[in-house]
Amino acid sequence: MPGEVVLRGLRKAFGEVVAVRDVSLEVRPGEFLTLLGPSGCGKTTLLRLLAGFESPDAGQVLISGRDVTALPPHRRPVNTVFQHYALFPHLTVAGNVAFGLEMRRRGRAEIAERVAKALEMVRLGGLGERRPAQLSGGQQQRVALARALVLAPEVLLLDEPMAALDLKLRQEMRVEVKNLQERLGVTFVFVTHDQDEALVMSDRIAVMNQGRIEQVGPPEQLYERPRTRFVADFLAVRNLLQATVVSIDGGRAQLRTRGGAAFSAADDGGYRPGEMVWVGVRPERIRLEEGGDNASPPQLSGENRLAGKLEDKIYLGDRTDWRVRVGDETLTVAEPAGPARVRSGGQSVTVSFPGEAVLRLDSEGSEPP
Amino acid sequence: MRSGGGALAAVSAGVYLFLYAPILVLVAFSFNAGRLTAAWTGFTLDWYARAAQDPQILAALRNSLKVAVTATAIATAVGTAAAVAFHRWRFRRQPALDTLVTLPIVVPEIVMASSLLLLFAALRLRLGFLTVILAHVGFSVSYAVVVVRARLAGFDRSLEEAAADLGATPLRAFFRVTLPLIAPGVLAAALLVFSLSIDDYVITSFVAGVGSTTLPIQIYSMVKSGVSPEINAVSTLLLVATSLLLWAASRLERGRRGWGTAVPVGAALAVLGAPFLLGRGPAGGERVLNLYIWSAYISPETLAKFERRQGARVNVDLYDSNEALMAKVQAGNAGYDVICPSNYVVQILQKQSLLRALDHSAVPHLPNVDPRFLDRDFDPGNRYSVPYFWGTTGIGYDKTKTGPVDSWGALWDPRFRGRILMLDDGREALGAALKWKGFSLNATDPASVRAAEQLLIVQKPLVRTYNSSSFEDILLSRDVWLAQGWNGQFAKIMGIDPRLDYVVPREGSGLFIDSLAIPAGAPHPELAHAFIDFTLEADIAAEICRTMGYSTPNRAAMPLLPESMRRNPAIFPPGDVLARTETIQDVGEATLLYDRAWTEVKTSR
Repeated sequence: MPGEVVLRGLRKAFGEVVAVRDVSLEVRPGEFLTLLGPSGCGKTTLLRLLAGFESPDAGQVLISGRDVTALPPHRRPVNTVFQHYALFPHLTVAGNVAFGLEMRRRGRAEIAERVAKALEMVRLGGLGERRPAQLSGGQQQRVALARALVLAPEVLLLDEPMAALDLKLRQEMRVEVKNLQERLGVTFVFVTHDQDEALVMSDRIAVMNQGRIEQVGPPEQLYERPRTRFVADFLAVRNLLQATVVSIDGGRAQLRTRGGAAFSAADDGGYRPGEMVWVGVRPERIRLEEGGDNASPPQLSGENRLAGKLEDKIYLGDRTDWRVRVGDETLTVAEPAGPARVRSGGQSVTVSFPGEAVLRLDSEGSEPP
Repeated sequence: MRSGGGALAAVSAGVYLFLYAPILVLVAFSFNAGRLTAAWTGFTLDWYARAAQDPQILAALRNSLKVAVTATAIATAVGTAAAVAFHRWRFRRQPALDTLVTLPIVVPEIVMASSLLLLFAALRLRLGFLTVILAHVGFSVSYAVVVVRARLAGFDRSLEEAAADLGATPLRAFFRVTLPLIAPGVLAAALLVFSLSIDDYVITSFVAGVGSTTLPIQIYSMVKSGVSPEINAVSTLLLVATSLLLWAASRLERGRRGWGTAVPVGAALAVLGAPFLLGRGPAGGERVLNLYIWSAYISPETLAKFERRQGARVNVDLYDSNEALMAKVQAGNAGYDVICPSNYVVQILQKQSLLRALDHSAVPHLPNVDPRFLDRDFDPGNRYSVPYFWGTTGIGYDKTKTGPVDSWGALWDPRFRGRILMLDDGREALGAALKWKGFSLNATDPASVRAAEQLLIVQKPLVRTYNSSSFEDILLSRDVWLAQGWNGQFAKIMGIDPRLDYVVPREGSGLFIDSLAIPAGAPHPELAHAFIDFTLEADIAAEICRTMGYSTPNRAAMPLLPESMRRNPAIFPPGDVLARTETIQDVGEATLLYDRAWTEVKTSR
């Protein structure tokens, strides 16, 4: 099917360093798929294997059902928006956009028409005669988009296209790029290390770590149900705890950390008594109360209440992160901005979170960084 | 702050002045009416007109431009390709290759020159345009690589990837994206290669052959007779042309097209193209004589006479030193028919079987030569050579400053401290000391050479400069009052300034006899004999002497010379003078003694 991307057992090493290990992935036609991961995780190499700038040591790349593994970049039905846009500085904006059409030896009239349309599409009409250096970062990015999209590729590859923009512009562009993709129905493979960007724009996200894809799924699924410690950590599950399953009863697993903190989790069927497990709790799912005497045994209700001591505070504007010492663990608690609370270090507090907020994480998969 | 800026501006101005003053002087003197560069005597465009009419200068300029343009095209293309390859791929032996690529830049030119000569000889390549172009590409391609690589260092590889991504084949990506972006570097490389090529002397002098004398070789070879202001005119025009091209290039780089760029390019091309339109020699028949001779040793008119008579064409190439001549002949692939070695060089070349024995029946005019110049020790029986010009080493001086001079001792006279010039030539300078003390110029015993060395060291504080190339100009400008030198150059300035005089000291001096000879491998020996005999004819020998101003050994020509020449003691010294002279000869192993002694003199404090 046009716009479909299938990767089979892709592997790429640079000397001793394995950048991509046995990656298999299917991207559906018209899908916005994001490769998310920290720098060095192999996401850019994977994109370059797709574009044809690198050739794999093993595996296959199929685009629109055709095996393109052996094809050079200029013969693949994909186009790329580069991280720093890679606009040709010696050509005008229109010259940049026309470049691919000229390479395809289109007629002059057709080129002029399609270039004008493409520039209109990215709202750059009238700037065709400028040089790239005379444009702002956001405008340059639109030119890069227009240059790639004017060729009506079956798949568009985007390599951290927002990385060079400031935060406000980045947020605007997220929406704009997403709208464009939906309007055109072109398959987008988008590389980023920014989880917010990934969550806002993607139909599906593939989280990469050390050359592997750890988890693929829609943003909600990844956010609600990260499968591995790495994915959880990367998607801001700040509190990762190792605990022993003490018992399971009534759909609840009773857990105890090595430091002695005990709490319960909603049993998803994956807990086994006596086993060591990793679990995670999002900071925003934990609430903070004054005083350390409100703790209660977990078995009495679904709500876990643990006594702790306040360590420090990180003010973030729209929220405040509190660091709380509970037994041997330090938990991060996110509190939305509200009436200012005066708390001081060493103060006794109680943290509470529902058992449903406890995410069981697979022990397999890689270590978090 | 203000005063700091002023100081900076002053220093900058000083640096620019230092850099450009010599060029400004050259340009100014190309309009100087006087023949010598010593003083300004009035404005003229005469030298430009003369340059435009001088077939040798025009031919040399044509050759230089052909070589430079071809070598620039090849070296720039190859260098750019290599630089791109180095930039794009990392390979295992890259550091070693890096060093190899830049090696030609640090290898001394003379080493490169002689190794190229050997290589071409081994490949049996006839020396000529091809070898000059190959050599120029060889030494300049490294510069091109280095310059283009510097430009590529700032080149964003993702631009090439973007081009490929947009459907450009690697070749189209290179020409549409990479090349336009590194164009300033490529252009800079081309300009550098062009300027390296157009002014290369050392390597060219080794590998040039028949018909490929370039402008620098022409200029250096004129040193023997004095560089003429025509060369200033030619240099000024080259300067103008290259400046125009540079200006146009900088406009192009800023993306400016149109008349403002086209006009300077057109003007530059017109200047550079002029030598191809002016004074093209006659197309000539198929018979060719390849003559390799000192500059200003034969006039175009004389050559034209020979060409008409024989229905042949003469290719003239020039050299400026016996060493260059020997290197060329010893390489054995130069293709020359007639050469003009000095006395001892005849001896050396003959010993190495590099000369062809003359067929005396083909040179019937040999008896025209004064017997005093025949059957000399360097070529008994003139089996290999025929005298062409001769001359003496002596002292040129300003008689109003020094009074009469008749001894080498004048060069050691403390009254003339700082006003004495010695030839920058070990055999000649040591020879003056040897002769003064009554030794032979060719003394081989260490004691005599050592004594001469000591004398020169004692003399050194009195000496203003050691110079063999423009001693007559320096005397004419009165920077010195006494100059050791050769008679021909002094004869010329004596015609300009009657206060100057020339003497062969009474202790005796050196005699040189430059002779015509035929190399062993000459391709046209029959025509070569005809040419040698032609120069021996009385009226031709007289014409050569009259036009070039050196002393002819041709007895039969003497009555045909103007009175003023015959009576000029600097050109034809009285008979007893010749008896006091001896020729500088190859001293064999004692050469080392002379070299050491001369080094001691030059390095002593």
